[in-house]
Amino acid sequence: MIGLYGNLLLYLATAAALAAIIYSKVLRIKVDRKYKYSSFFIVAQFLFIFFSYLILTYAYITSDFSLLNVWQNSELNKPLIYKITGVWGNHEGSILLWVLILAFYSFLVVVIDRDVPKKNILNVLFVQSSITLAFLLFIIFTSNPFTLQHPVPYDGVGLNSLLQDPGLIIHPPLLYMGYVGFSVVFSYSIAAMLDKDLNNVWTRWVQKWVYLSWCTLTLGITIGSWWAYYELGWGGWWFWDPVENASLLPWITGTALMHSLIIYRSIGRHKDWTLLLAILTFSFSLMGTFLVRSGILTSVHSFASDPQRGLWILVIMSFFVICSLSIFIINLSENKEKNNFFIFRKGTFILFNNYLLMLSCFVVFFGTIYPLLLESITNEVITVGPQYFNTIFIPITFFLALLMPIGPNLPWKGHVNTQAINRIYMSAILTISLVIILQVLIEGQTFNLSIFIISLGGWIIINSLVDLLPNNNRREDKNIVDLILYNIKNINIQKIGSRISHVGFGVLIIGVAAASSYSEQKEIKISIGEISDINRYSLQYDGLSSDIGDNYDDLLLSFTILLDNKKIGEIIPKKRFFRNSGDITTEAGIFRHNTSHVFITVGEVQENYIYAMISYKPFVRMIWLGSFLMVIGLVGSVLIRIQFIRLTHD
Amino acid sequence: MIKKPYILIKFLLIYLLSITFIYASNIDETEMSNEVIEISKELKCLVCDGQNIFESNSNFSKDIKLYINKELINGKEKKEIISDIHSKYGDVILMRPPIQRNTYILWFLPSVILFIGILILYIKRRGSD
Repeated sequence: MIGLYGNLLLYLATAAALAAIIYSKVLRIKVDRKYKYSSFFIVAQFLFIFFSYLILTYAYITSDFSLLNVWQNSELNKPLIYKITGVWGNHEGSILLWVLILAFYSFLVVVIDRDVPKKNILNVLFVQSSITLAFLLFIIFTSNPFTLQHPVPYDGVGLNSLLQDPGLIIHPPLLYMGYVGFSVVFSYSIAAMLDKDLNNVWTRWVQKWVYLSWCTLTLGITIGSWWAYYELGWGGWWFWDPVENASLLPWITGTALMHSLIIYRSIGRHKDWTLLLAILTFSFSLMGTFLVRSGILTSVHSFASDPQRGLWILVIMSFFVICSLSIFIINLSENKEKNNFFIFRKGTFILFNNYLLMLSCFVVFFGTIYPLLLESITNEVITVGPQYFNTIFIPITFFLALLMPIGPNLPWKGHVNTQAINRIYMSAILTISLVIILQVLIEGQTFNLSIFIISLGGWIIINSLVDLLPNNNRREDKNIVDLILYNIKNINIQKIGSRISHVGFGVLIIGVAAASSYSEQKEIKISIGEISDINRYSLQYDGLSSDIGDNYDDLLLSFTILLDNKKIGEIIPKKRFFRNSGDITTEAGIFRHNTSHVFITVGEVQENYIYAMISYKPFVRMIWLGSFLMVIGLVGSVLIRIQFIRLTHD
Repeated sequence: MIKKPYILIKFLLIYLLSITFIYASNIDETEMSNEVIEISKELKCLVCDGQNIFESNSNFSKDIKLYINKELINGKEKKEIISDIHSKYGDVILMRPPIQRNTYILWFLPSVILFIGILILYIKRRGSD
């Protein structure tokens, strides 16, 4: 019965999407009526999908195994939270979530963007509904979560054990919010090209959508990386896995888009480039979905893939990419922009940023598909592993980090002011002294590349902070405390947001460089009562105990962590034994100390001794801290700008 | 932490049984040295989805790790061991693709693009002066 309602709602949603397409574009009626009807159908479409999603969730909660999808991915004694979130832990459910978020964004456009002229918004709704329709048909024909089965089994197969983790609750929704959010940006770009009378006001409409999508995508990727770090058991935070790469691509182009929008908004240049970035970003989102769902690339995410469905998504993706690129090429603006080129301009530096980001995007893309291309052409198989990406990314990051803090200080036009130059010199001197100090203190005689990269992070951070000093800093005051207080009071508030984001990137670079080169790890065999040392810490194995969860048993292995012979804490890594599936997962034990982690994962367990991998990861927390700072900075800058607009209106 | 001792015992039994089953081939009694870790991170587990030998617990990876360990004890160098394994299993086992005929494009195209970018910058700069 429940499957019937779910199906019905999906069909209704499809009809509503079709109606929205017809009313927004095809019919020749007055614009006001067009808008009235199509927005009505957008809301209806969202509600239909929302309720069908609720029905699926209800089926999961009540363990209704008459639905094939529920039977395949759920079980009776699964904790409630994983029944609810398990909905998106499989292909059908996660595609339904994808479409739900898509419809939600269309709904938001109708609700929020009331100040956009009706003529423009109709085109946006038209593109949005086309995407929704395509994916709804995809669900109905290949991935229907409401497929029934008979007879109804007593218990389900269960959710993939690796996915029964708090990470599942937030990682996929955030990631999808990001992926799908760029569809709105995409729709606005297509709409802008269809209208042809695009001007800077367009940037005001799309900017919030870019920001929202970028923030959620960044958070999604960050949380995914943290999840992999403790769950997959070997303490890596980024694997250059094809699916991770697929999420990185829209992130990179999205970042480039965010920056090129600044040029377009401020001086009205590089319109075509900005539109192309908007198209690319959503195309990469679609490609990410295609790569994950098709299973043509093997990856740790391959829990939910099917080649047949991959083909469908490939068709959908090709359709939208080809259409949008054709519209783009037809509408390339004819008037050539004036060709005055000066290097030390803000606009030029943003172009450098875009260029380097696109290069890194190309590297990620190329490196990911190269083995596939090579195999299909020559039948030779090779592996492109993390080593390749790390090697290529070092020089790109070098240029990016070197130029990053200079750009924001440069003017849009005219001469660079002397204060900005002085500040750059000042930061340069500080950074070079930092390199020397670090080299002497940490490395001594040997040269280590990571010192160099760490200093680049330092260069970004120092520059961004110096940048926040008030503009006229000439105070007669001799008292140093007064001077500092004056500087803090008169800090440059408008710049804070973007500089925090830049500082976040610096922190991220430092974390990555330091954690990769100063980590220590070893695999040990340890008996009860024995002590093993890593870095300055000593780990004592105290023995094992057990704990009982809803559908699993935990084997807890207690360690005491000692620093200078004093107990500073406990680490309890776990082996989790799922009763139903028989799977064993490892839950890493992590001890946080300043910016470092002491990390234990357990291998084989015997009564008196265990095998474990212990590692010391200095600065590793800065990786996630940096990513969060980038998001916080962006949110901050938006809030501050809103505040400023209010103040100027009053 | 122990709530019900009999469950612990039952659980341990199941657990030990399952691991003896899984690790039947495992005769590793020594600690893995740093060098084994280092080498095994350069190699791909051929039976897994995108994991390296170090990360993987498959029998294949266990065997390779044991082999590396043995060769290290025999006094072989890191490079020798990797090239031995490479010649046995082919390019696909190397995480870092070797620089050769079929990977020139992979390795050098990014630098070519970077170089072209710098060239364009140089030309534009001269053009506008």
